[in-house]
Amino acid sequence: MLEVKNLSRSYEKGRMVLNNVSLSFPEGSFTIIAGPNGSGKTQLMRHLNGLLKAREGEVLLDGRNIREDLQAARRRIGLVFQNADSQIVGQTVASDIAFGAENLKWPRQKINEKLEELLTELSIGHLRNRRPHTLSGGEKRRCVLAAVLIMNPEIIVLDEPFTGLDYQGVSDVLKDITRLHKDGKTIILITHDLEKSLAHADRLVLMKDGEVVKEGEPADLIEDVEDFGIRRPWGNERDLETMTWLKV
Amino acid sequence: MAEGLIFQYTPGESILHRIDIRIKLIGMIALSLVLIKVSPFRLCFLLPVLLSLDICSRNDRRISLPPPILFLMPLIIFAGNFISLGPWETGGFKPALAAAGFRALRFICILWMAQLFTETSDPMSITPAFYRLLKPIPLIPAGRISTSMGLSLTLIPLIISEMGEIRDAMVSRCGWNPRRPVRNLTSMGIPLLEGVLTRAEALSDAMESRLFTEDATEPELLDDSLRTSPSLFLLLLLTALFMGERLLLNIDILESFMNFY
Amino acid sequence: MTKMRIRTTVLSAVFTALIAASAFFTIPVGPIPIVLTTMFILLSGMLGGAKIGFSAVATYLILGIIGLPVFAGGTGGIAKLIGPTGGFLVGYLLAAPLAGLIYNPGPDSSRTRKIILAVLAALVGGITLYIPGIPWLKQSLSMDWPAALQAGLIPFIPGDLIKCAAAAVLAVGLKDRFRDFLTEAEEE
Ligand SMILES: Nc1ncnc2c1ncn2[C@@H]1O[C@H](COP(=O)(O)OP(=O)(O)O)[C@@H](O)[C@H]1O
Ligand SMILES: [Mg+2]
Repeated sequence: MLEVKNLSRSYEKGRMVLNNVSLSFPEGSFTIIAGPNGSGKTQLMRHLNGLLKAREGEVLLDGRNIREDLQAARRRIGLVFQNADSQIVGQTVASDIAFGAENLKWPRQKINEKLEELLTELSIGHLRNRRPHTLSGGEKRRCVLAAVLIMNPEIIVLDEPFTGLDYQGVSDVLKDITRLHKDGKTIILITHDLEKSLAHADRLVLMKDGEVVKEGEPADLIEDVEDFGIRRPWGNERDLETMTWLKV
Repeated sequence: MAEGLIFQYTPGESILHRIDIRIKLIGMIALSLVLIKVSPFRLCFLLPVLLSLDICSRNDRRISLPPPILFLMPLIIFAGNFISLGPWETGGFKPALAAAGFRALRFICILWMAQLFTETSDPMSITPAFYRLLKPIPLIPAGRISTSMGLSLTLIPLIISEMGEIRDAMVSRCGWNPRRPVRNLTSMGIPLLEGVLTRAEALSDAMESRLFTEDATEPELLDDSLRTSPSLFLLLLLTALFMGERLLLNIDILESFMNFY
Repeated sequence: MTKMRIRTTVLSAVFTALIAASAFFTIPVGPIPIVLTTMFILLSGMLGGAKIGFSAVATYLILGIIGLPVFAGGTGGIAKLIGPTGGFLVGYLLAAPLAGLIYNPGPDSSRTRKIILAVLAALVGGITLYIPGIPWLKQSLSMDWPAALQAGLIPFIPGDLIKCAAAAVLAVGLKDRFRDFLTEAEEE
């Protein structure tokens, strides 16, 4: 279980980028964090694995502050950042995916086995020797997801993973996310695009100006989202189940 | 476009593709050193070697024309050298012509080698190979250097296309004013450097999240790459070259090393 | 692996890529197109600091030495380094850290101070490029001094002045951002 307690951060005086944020993410949950641009979602995510040190408040993993063992926390909490292009380190898809495992100093054979497994799981085996930057948006997104998955994290945080993807791309990525959730991973999905994914979430967190303004079951919150600067998926009588771009 | 320029790697199964990259690297460096001193003998010796390597490296065994820049640059060098050496300095028209010609030919050789190397070496394995090459040398931070090289190689094509985009955007907003060159440069430099910094931030976040360390599992080298026979070939080639020079032209090997140009 | 270490490695790699990429670009700045390599060499030291400047240029030279076509005109190879223009490549290695040593204003320096330091750094760095370059050229082509200056210095002066001026302007404008990037890492 991942918990954020009373987390605050400001850069200049007077403007809080994060203001007393407290949240918890139980094992196996699927949370969507939504909020307009600049509401602090990415800043929150960067605290979750200690990229930013909490100045006020703390981040706890299974009750212990993540700073006690950052290495372990970073292995267990996988972050997929917003801009796919700038998180690619390898010169081919395969070498980029292997990067995390190499840093864990796994023997080569174990890395290769895990790599094969992931390539099949995400059906990107045919891309293995491609240069990552030449991939399509959806392929690139799945490549960076695989790069995080190789460390076998329990919690996966995705920052606006649908930006710039076409229908096919969104649907592919969504399929992977829901499968990971079914496999028991804790999912934290940051997006302001509820229409594409809300159906799969079991919790919705609304943020504005660095604060958590609402939190609860998606069904209870959906009528209020427009008050906080997020577009409610079109259609008033619309069922929550239809709020997905997953092809069936 | 630029991507094609730098990484003209074309996957293949030729001998040159299968030679261990470290040997290719050493070979290229050794031959470049040999070419520091150009002589007709050395050129006559190396050009056929390069030609046959080139033929070997083609998958379809057909000699295709090298890119036009291969012809253009030597011409410039030839002309430049010819003018700057000048018949009056070298004491005659012919020696100047010859000297300029040699330098142009040497340039062709070097470009040709670079071309063969990049064409047959998977950029992905260049840095691991380099790491293996450096690692035994004491006091050299092999891990840091090869990480840095690998990252740069990943970034170069991205930055080239970014530069192109920024330039095009400026042109389409009529941003070029030939009379204000400094302003042209700064208004191109700001978005470029800002963008590059944002990229650096994101990249270091990603690397930190993925637990980057310099003593990670060592990179993999292809096991089935050729080592022994190419090394022997390289040794033989160099021996033949120096012996030939000594026997035919009576040049002392040591002296030829000392003699810059 | 500390945050600082990662950030310096990444920043140095980014500058290497900028320097190498610029070899492929001619920019129609004034009446004649120029190559921006020296501008990015100076900036790598002025924005990243002496250490990053040095390692960025060193990595760039290594890429070139192992044969990747990153030197001017799309060339590479060790012969280029030892050849007539090799001195300029050695000059790169000195200019970047030197410019970084001179232009190192604190966060609270006044704007005038920054401008003066930046101009000084760009000029000194720009001149340093030629210090190993010209004698090397003279020696390897056995020219006399006037000829070497004519071939290796005089035609490049206008372009280099433009590039130095631009480097100074950019360094003044962007230094804070780059310093934040590195000091943010220190505090964590
Ligand atoms: N290094 C920084 N210095 C000052 N302000 C920052 C810094 N990083 C982020 N911010 C501010 O934090 C706010 C939240 O940003 P972010 O978390 O990226 O929003 P979101 O991801 O929700 O769109 C933004 O208003 C941004 O300006
Ligand atoms: Mg964001």
